[in-house]
Amino acid sequence: MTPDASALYQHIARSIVATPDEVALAAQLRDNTTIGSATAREAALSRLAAVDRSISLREQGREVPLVPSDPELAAPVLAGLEKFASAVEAQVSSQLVGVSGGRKRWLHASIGAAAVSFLAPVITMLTSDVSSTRVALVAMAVGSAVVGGILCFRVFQSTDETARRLQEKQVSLSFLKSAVDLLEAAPTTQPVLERSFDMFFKHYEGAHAPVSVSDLWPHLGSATDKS
Amino acid sequence: MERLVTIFNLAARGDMLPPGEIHQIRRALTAGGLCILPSDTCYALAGNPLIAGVPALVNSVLDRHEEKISLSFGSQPMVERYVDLGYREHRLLDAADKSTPITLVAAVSTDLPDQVRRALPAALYTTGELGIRLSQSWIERQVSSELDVPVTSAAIYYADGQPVRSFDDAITIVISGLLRAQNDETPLVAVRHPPVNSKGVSSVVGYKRDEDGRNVLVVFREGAVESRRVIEIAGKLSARDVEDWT
Repeated sequence: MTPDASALYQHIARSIVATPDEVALAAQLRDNTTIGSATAREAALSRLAAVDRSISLREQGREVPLVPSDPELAAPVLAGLEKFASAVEAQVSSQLVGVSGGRKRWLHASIGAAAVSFLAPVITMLTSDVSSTRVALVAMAVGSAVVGGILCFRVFQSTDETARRLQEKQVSLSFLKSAVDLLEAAPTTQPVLERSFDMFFKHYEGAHAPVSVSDLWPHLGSATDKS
Repeated sequence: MERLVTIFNLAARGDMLPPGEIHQIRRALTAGGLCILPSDTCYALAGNPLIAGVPALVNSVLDRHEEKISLSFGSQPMVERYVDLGYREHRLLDAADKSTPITLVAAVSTDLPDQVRRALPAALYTTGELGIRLSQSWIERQVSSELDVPVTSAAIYYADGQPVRSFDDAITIVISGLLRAQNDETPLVAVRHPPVNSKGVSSVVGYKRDEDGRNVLVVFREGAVESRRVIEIAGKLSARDVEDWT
């Protein structure tokens, strides 16, 4: 254990304004400063220092709460938060409707292109003699359909990802609304509200990789990865 | 049992300690220690009230049981971070000077985080309010400013109730208290200061709401400032009133 980590932990543990969760986190971070790689130890010390700074600001009366403790002062802030959540939710919902429609269209286009690339040579073979001119035209049609199908599928993937992120925002906004309701009833639940803002501002849905073999043939893609 | 006390000396009233010495006091108080220092009217025991157990130790050492403990602040902006001050409170606070030592009882600020609003008054044996003082003792202000938090300001008394103005007696009383509390680990520092001439300890005043919801001036403890004088101060327009109302 480095002396700095010990001193920081002592300050947090002895402060009357530190919450039990903060003390537990500080103890864990203090322990983490002695294990793992140098980078992990440094990260633990840095987080411990951040907790200590937050406690110091609170002790000095400088930490500004998100919502005032006084119910009268808190009421307009909470009303504003509710209005904010509702307005953003309405926008997110309307965008989600548009994206969902677009997502379906691109998926249908992708399937249509794939069908053309498959059916064009089959129909050609069944309905007429195979000449070199016809083969060239069919090959061009199949090639265009394949490229078009891949592009449509990629656009579908992007719209699908956008839709999922918007759905994620809808969930976080519902959480935010619930946190505001909870705060009206129990003013000590500010951390829940702070967490809901974290949920709203962060992305939990990872971005898709560009078109790869696995997009077209998942098993082949995974086999290639393993090798 | 022997007790180690680090002593710093102030040559004249109004002097401040050099940075190296004030740093040693800060280190002792940050470690949960106590400091004997001259307050407005007598020697007082200072500690960091935000460290668990320190206010209780102050009361234990001074044999005060669960008496309310007032705080001394380094500056008015620091006071304003902890308590809500209206024009009534400002009148009392503005009038406090060397010959008018006043401890003001004011409501804990609504802007403070919940943990502070709950924990600080509870640690000082009050409910929803703090006893605050902007001391005329520069060393007391210097210590608070150095820590960037208020410090406890509990007057040291003789057994007969007289405030202690002798440095040696203050040391003896505090060390006896620490021995009585079987505490031999708490760091102890002290600041020696030329004798202070005062009629008594500070008067403790504040406002409370009566049954009809009106703010009523209350003198919780009559000290060096008589109640009559407190009422006079509270009813007098101040320069701040004129500034705020015009």
